[in-house]
Amino acid sequence: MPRYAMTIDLSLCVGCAACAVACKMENEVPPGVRRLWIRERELGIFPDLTVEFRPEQCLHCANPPCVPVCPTGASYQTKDGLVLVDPKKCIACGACVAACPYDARYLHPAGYVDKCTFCQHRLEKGRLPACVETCPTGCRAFGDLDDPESPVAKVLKEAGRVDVLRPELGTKPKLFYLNAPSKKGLTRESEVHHD
Amino acid sequence: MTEFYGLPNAGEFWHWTNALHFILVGLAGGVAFLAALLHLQNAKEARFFTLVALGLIALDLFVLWAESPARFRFTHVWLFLTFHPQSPIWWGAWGLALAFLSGGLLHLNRGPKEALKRVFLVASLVALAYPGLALAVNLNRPLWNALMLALFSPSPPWLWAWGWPSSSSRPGPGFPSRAFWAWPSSWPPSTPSA
Repeated sequence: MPRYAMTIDLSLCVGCAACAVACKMENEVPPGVRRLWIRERELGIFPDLTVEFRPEQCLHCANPPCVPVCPTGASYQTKDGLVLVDPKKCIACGACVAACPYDARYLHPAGYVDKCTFCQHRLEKGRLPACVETCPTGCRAFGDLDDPESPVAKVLKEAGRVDVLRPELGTKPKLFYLNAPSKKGLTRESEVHHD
Repeated sequence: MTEFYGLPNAGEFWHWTNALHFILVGLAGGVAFLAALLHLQNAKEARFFTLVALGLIALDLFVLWAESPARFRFTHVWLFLTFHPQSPIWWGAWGLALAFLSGGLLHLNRGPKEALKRVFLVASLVALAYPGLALAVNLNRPLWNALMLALFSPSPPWLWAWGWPSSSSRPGPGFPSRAFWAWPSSWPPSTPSA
């Protein structure tokens, strides 16, 4: 079985939000909620200034805290590593929303929890996720972590720096951020300069 | 400066109704536990406290249903058709359901009484523990945990506060803590002869 993962090269991301728009359209995400968003942060003061555009979404953790708390099995992990929600079993209790440390889940107005699926419906047809396909700078790569020939394995091998969000939680995310603009890695809210 | 192209889903996802639910579960579980102890001692107050526990469980289930975004999807049936012991909510669903069923049958004088008393006791303990379990799993939300624990933790002391002053006013119905004070001398509970 493949072990799906995604990479985002932050040195290439320009924050155009094309991925966010593509996700909204592809998955018919209702207004007011989102599966994918972009965090923009400015660090430091000119001339020592860094800007980070960081797209965020479900990280499809290898050790997802949202799955065991689900009382009905609606939240589950597939054999290829995707973390998904079965709307037919979801009781909208919000336990998984509370458990996710990345704010990646939301309550769909139709009465169930929803989130990024890595566009599983497209993967089944051999296509890439909509955000990967639409990115104009090619900062996103997707594929099987265990296949050394897959795009994701190649960029991970070549990247100067690889980070994940909140590694201290032990969730083992499968969304990797490459080449963060700051030498210290991904920015944290506490580091941001507020005017 | 931090900006977003669309905010993340960091908004409030559990509301005051959830706090009310946790407190009601704590109260329902506590009263059911005391009622179960009184049943095991064949105390006459058991029926009254069973009725209070049933009312609290019913009220809590109504609150849950009324605030649920899935209230007309009837997916809650999956709570009882699946086996997910890692989930506190699964335990809470079974604890409340079994406490209601066993307490209801005891109140109606139906079914195998001795077995029902023990089921009532265990189910009430599960219901009593459930809010704490539900909050304890959210290790990634420490502030939320602290707030909710502050709200939840008073509920068992409320029960104690209710029972304690009446410990000197027997006989009387408002005396759940009697079950504890009388416990050592009444254990094991007598089994009615055939």
